[in-house]
Amino acid sequence: MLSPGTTAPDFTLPDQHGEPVRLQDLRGHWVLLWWYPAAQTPGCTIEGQGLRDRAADFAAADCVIVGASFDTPAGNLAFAKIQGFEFRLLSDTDQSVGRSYEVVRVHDDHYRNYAERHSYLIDPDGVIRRVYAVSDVETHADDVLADLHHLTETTHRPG
Amino acid sequence: MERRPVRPRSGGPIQIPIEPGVRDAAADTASLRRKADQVARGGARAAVLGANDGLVTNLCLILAVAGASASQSSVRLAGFASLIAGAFSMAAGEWVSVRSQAELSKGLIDELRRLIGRNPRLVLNELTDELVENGFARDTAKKASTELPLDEDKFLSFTARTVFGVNPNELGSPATAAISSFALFSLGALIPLAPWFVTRGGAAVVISAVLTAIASLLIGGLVSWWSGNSAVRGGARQLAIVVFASAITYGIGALFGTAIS
Repeated sequence: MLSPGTTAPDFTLPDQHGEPVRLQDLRGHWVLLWWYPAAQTPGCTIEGQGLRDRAADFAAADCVIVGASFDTPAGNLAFAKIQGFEFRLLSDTDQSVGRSYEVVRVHDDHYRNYAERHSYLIDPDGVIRRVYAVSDVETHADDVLADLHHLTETTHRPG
Repeated sequence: MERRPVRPRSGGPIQIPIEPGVRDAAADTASLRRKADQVARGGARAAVLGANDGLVTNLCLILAVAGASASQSSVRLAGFASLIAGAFSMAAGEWVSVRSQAELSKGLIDELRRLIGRNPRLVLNELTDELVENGFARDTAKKASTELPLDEDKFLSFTARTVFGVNPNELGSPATAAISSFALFSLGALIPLAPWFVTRGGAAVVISAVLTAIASLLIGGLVSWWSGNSAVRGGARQLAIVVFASAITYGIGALFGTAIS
């Protein structure tokens, strides 16, 4: 897992519609890069629903939610359609971006083919400000929003 | 660059379509509780011990018939008929019991799948609570219960075991259960009957009773020991039950037998 203060590694990955998304293009906005193990499984669904239901708050904080997993675009498209996710879900099927974000599991992990449930909160300059090894999928959205508010207050405070 | 998805070698992630929102959380909770209660009540399959049933049934029968001063051949005939009837009855009972338990287990897994589709939070929270109850730190428990569904088979089986206390994998086949209880009942029933093939009268009654007592001690002790209790106490209790049942049966046979026959 990368440390806060690190520049977020740039990447280009296809979203659920097959459209390429480049992290660099999101500069100027906060980005929540949400890695999840597998589309349409209970934990990821609950976590994604939390983000979906707080989408307005993320938008208000100028934060773009970007999901990422080792699923195929088709798998992610089905996931987003069923759950009504407006945000993009990226497919890192060969796990190369996952490796640079250190979300690939160790070789002998029973779930080695699924990404770790880690999230990165990236600031408008492309620097990782918060990292999350998520264990509570229900509160994740709220946890990130709380940090986001704290960080933006600190950033915008004059002097 | 061609991107190929990496697929797991075995046991893929959970493949249950999950609805975009929870409609009736209270109804889901009620349904889960109802199912768990059902399992707790009916699921604890009686640890049917064919051999023990055979012993008690046949000793009582033999004593009742002997108590009515029946001939050696009448006792043998009655004892043998009881052996056959009991063995078939036990086999049929066991078959039905295992069969219905297997159906219950399957129904439970189906219900779990439905609940995950309707309300994954509820199921994951139940699992988390169970893990915490079993000594996991809450954080670890939460992480574990969100990871487990990545392997559907393992998840369903583990959840059935932890939340419902039912192990869907431990049930044998109904046929095996039926055949083994048929054989064990016959074996048990043969012990009090055997002396009547070589002797008769008071001597046969005594040998029947002694053999049955020894076998009861062994079976009672063994069963008790299996379930982690004192073998001596289990054996003694079993013996007491057999003595009590036999004495009453013999008494009834002695009192009314002659009158009826």
